[in-house]
Amino acid sequence: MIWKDGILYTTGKSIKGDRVFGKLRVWPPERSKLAALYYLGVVPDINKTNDFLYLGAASGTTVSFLADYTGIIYAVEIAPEPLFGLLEVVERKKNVIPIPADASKPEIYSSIVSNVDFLYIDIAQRNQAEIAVRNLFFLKSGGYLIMMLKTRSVSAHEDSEKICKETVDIFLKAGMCDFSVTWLEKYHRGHVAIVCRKRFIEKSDE
Amino acid sequence: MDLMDNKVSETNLMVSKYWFGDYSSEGWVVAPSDANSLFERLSHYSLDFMILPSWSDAVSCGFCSDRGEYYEILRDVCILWSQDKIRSYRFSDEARLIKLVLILRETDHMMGRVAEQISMWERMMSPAGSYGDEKPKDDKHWEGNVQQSDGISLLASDIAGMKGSRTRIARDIIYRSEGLLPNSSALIGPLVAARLLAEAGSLARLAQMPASSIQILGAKNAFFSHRSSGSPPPKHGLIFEHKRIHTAKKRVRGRVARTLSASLAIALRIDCYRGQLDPVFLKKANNRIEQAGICA
Repeated sequence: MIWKDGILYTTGKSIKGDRVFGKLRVWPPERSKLAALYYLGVVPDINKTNDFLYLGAASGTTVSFLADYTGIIYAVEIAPEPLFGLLEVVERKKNVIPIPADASKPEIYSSIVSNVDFLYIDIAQRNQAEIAVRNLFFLKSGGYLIMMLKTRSVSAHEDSEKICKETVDIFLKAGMCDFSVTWLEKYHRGHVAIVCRKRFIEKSDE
Repeated sequence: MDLMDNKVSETNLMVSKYWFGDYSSEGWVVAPSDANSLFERLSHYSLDFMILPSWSDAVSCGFCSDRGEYYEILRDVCILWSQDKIRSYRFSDEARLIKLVLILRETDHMMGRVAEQISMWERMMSPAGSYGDEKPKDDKHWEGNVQQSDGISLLASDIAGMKGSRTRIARDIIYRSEGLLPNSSALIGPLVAARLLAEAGSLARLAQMPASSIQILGAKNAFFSHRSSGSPPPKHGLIFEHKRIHTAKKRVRGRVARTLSASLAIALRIDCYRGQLDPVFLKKANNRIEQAGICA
C-alpha cells in the first residue's frame, strides 16, 4: 500500500474523475468503502498474486483502484446502468473481468470464476450475508472475506449493532474465523466492514 | 462446508460445462478459442451445480498456452457478455419508459423549485410597501414577460419555455405506457401506471407485488415513519394521483385505495404475463371500484 503524508494512493492508469499527483492516484475514502477501511481499520495484505471475486462492482470506482494492487478481479454487477461505467474501467484495467450476472445465483458464473484469494462483497441487499455465504464456494481456504454491510438495507428500524452481530453469526456458522469489525461511520453512514478468514480444511481431506 | 472440495468428483458421470470446454468421464471436449463463439456457447447453457475452472485445466486440455492467454480470452468473452447485457437494456421498452418517467419527475421538481424562487424574487422586487400585504398575482404573471434583460427574467422565460418540452415528454410517456401497460393504464391512467413502474424498478417486480404494497408504493417516508414512530399508516402512495382517489370522500378514500390497488395488482399481472387489453376484466374492476366509492 502506498501511503504518503497520510493519504492513500495507487499507481496505474487513471480513470475519469481521479485526482492525480504525478503518477499517483488518490484513493479517496469518501468514494470507496475499501479505502475507508484502509484509513480506519486493518486490511489483510494484498499483492499482485491475489485474485479477487468482487460482488457488486457498480460502476467500478473501487475496482479501478483495487486493480492497481491485485491480480485478476472478477467484477460481478447485475444492474445494466452501472455496467456502462464498469466497462470504461475494464478498458483501462487489463486485469478486470466484468461479469454481468446476479450475485445471488453463483451457478451462472461458476463455469468462469476460478478459486480466489479474496471475496469482496458490497451489495446493499437484505440477504447480503446469505449471498456472501453462497459465494464462499469460490474462496480458497485461508482466503479472506471482506464485506461492506449496509445495515439500513437489512432492516430499517432494527439496531445496527444487532444486525452486524447477526451477520457475524451467519459467517461463524459458515466456517469463518479471525473476525475483525470496523465501523465506517466517519466516511460512509450506516456501513460496517466485516473482515474474516476461511478456515483451512486440510484436516478434513485426510 | 465440505462442498469446498476443489475436485469435481461426484460429477464424473455428468458433463461439467466449463466456459472453455466440456469435461466428462471420457475426457475433455475443447471449445474453439474465439471469443464470439465462446460467448455464444456461454449464453446457451445453464448450470444447476457449482464447478470451479482453473487456468491449469485449460492449459492441460490444450485450450490455451498459458495463464496470460487464458485470462485474455476470458476477459474478451466477458466483455462481449456485458456489452450484450447493455444492448438488451438499451433497446428495452420498459427501461426507456422508466428513464422517461425519472426525467419527467426531475424536470417537474426542478421547474417547481425554480419557479418558486423566481416568484419570491419578484415579490421582493415589487414596489416598496406592497411586499407583505399584497398577495402575489397568479403564477403566470412572470411568464414570457421579458421586460428587462436581467438574468431572472431570462430564467423565467426559459422555465416557461420548458413547459412545452415537459408536455411532450409526458405525451411520450402516455403513449409508451398505454402500449406496455394496457390494463393498468386503463384502470389508473397511463401516467400513474408509468410512475408505479418506475418506482418498482421493473414490470416483473411490480407484477409480483402484493396489492397492499402497490397501494402504498411511493409513500416510503410516511410508511417508514409509521414503522418507526407509530404515526398512522399511509392509505395510499402514488395511486393517490389518480382522480378516483383524490376526488373520493375522505371517509371512503382508504377503501377505494384498497379496492383499486387490489384490481391494479391483477391488471399488472395481465400486463406482465399476457400483455393484452382485457375488456371483461376492466369492466368488472371498474364496477368494483365504483362500488367502493359509494358512501354507506
